[in-house]
Amino acid sequence: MSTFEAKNQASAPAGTHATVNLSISGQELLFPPLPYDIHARADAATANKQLQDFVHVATYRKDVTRKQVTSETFGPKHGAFRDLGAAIKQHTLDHLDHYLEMFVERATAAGAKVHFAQTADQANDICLDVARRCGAKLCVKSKSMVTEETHLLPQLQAMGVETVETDLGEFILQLDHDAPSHIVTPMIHKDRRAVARAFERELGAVYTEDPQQLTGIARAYLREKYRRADLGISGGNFLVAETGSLVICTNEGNGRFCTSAPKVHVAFVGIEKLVPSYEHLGVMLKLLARTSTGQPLTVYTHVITGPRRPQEHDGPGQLHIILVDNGRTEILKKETREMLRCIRCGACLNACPVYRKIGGHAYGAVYSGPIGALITPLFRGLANYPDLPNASSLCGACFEACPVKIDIPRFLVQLRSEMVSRKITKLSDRLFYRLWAWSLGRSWTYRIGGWMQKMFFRAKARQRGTLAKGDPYRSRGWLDHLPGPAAGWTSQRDMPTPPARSFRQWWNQERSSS
Amino acid sequence: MKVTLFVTCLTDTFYPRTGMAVVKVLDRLGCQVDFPQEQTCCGQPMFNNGFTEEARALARRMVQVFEDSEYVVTPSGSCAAMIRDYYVDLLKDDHAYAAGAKALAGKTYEFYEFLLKVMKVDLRQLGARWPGKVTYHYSCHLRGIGVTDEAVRLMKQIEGLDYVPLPKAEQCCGFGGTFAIKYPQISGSLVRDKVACIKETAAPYVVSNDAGCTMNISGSCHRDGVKVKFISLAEIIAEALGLLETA
Amino acid sequence: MSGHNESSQRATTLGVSQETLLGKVRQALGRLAGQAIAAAPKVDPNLVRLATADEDLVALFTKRATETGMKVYRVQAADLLRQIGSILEEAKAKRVACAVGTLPQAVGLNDALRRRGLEVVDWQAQPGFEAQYELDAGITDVHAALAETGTLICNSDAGHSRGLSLVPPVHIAIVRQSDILPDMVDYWLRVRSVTGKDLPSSQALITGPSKTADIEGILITGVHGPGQVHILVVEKM
Repeated sequence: MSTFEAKNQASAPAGTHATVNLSISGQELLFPPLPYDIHARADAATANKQLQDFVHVATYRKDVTRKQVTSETFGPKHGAFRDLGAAIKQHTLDHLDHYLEMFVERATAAGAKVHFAQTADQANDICLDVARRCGAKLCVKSKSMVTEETHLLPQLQAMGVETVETDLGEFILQLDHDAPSHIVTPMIHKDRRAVARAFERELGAVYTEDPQQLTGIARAYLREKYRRADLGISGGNFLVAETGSLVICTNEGNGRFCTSAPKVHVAFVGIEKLVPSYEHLGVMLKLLARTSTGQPLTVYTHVITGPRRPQEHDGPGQLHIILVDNGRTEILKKETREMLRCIRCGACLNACPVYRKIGGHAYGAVYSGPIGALITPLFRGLANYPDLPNASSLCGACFEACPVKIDIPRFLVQLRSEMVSRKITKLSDRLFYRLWAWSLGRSWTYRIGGWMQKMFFRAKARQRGTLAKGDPYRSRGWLDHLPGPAAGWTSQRDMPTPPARSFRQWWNQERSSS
Repeated sequence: MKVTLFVTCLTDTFYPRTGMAVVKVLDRLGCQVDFPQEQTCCGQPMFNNGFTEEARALARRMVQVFEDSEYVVTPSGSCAAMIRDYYVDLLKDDHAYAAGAKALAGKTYEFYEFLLKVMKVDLRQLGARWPGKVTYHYSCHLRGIGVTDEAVRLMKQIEGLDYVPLPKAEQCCGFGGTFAIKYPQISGSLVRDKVACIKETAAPYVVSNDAGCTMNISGSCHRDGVKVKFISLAEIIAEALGLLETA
Repeated sequence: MSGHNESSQRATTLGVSQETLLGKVRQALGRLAGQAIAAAPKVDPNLVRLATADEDLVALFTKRATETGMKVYRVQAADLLRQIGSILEEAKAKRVACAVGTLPQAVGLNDALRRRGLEVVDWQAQPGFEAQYELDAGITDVHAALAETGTLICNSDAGHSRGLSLVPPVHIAIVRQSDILPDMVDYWLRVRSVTGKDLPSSQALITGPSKTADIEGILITGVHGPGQVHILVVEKM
């Protein structure tokens, strides 16, 4: 049986036409006004049937596939593989200056031109300059999260370079003025009808909901673009220091087209993408595809070393690699460095119960899911994204899924701690938790607190007539409304009251003498 | 064997019968159980919400309270995880407590894990019998401490107990402490999924060992009129051994 | 546009200098320029290798490549041309092109195809992909194949375009049994000593036909690259 996760998948349920956030532009989806409050989008998403049907089902299936494939492939070695993957990335980050230098030297020796950008604007400027110099009119682009960060496309368009996204999902999102909502599966939130409408409206195609035909329409349209394109833009999954190679993993083949058909290729790559050598690359590739989609390898793992050689007949004459910082050196500090191990496999998104419920756009940023909840506040300001570290039950599914063992829950808590110390946390919360902690700090205040809570809850339940009589250690009542912030609890579910007597009372009565 | 019970704040107040069951089962196994009156809370609510200093103070307190214990056993996987996963790190720069934190982490066990790993219990040999069909909620924090199917293995040692696996067992119930209050829609949506899975099993009992999860899931069942009973495995074992009256 | 001090002094340079970026990195790491580094984590081939030479590599390769959606045929050298012909016939291919390598030449591939009435395009006549867009099929040999993942490795050089395994809707790959390595680890060990311009500009590790699951998670093949990949494993050549 094929391990490709999508095989034989049942078609989606019918009659779910509502598309998420159509009123908001793609730009605003990823770059909302700050500070960003997650509640509106999160609440809309949990109430959105289409999102629940697609995102929840698709991510759950991917998560199951990941577990099955990684256990079949790695067996008892899985732990050791993850340890090695983590160690390789951590080692590279710990000595990033060394490997960057080596990479620049080797990539240059192979004929690539390496550029350095500290900010998003600088990265874009470098690319625009290359486009200007080569007289670019049409640019084909494969998927790159970094160009989403730098918001490159509008700038290329503004200088008159028609730019086309070629990853099928990204292409559809571009036509629909929408934005990606998953690192690996960018249009996980859309259905085939949305694609059909976009193709009919924007490409003048005959309306069809058949995915095979829709793909055919995109293929024919994009073929013409590849033929005419004079500039290709890509991201990069890995950089290999020892050889100066750029590695791009795609399934559709658009990555190979964009980096081979046009005469100039520009790659945007974050500085954290380095690995020391090919043998280290091999370990990461083995982990990446199996964790990401359950495939043994992505269909096209393309290792690019310099531009085309004189004796070669195709491939770009120029290769520009833009090494992008854009906030990464901030995260590179010791306390947060581990987060940069991320290889963007998307496994944490698929495993995350919260992501499954709210989808990518609710995160209000380029990177969503658990890893996004960590790096977005660091890229764009903790005070600007106060919900992201908090909107997690800390269940740990992400950590368990991560192929490079990023301890995401621990870092979420670390960010929460920073919010407290920087007083980003609300004053009322700061007072509440400190009072609570104080009451837990001695047993008599703890006992009084527990007793008061019990009496309060039971009195309310008695008023409502829900308080059951019987076993004093077991019979309880139920509350359907709590005051103040606790109303959040009872807006969704009832609150049990404590029984009449506590464990401590039982112990003191039955046991303390014995 | 001397065993110290850390009952946890939620179990103390909300689920005292679970604490009683733990004591009675440990008694039956020949352990000498003690319960230090000074114990309060492990500090997880503070720690999880970023009140690190406050959590550290409570961690120190815990280290002191359980300093002389040989084994610390708790019916909550979540609180065991707090002690085992985070105390060492919290107190690593505190010379007076660093060693104590390590020691406490090393001797703290979730109750069911303790039964199997330390006591090497076989409930069959004890004649455990409990007729009933149950499903089981796996609480997320067990992941962190490497507890996987311990509870299921114990259930399978009980004669008459009909265990039905819960679909999507590894998906969080949406409790997450104050997460349930601050992000009610997300949390509510998650717990309703959990309840739907419980209904799918058609089991009249849900075995749930972490008090927080139990409050959340049973609260959702109660709201939606889903008639299932919640019980901890400690209670089942105690009933199965005739140590607690069957409710 | 860059407001950075160092770069604004050199108005023609966009972005920042290498030293500026490295300086920021070193500052974050607390490292000095040229400071020695710890040894990189050792990659133990015994851990990482998921298939070994002890296994039946052809069988494993066939199994894995088939799982990814490629078609694998085991053929005798004498039967190679006939098999290629029947694949092309079934695909209704009229215009084809072949990589220029020892293997296709050894079997006289171009002539054989012409004799079957196919138009054999000289893709080397013009640079770039232009001559390859109208092809119905591309035929190549491979630089290696990997049993563990069912992967073809197609590298660019004078006789091997990037396009023949990508642009036409059908890719036919000829794999000698001796090309099949157990695991990716073995390929990287083989190219370990090669660097710089001695490496091909493009090494494509191909594991399946072009595919997507972007629309509702439904698997579609032949998105941008070939929808069909046929692999002929030749026992002895």
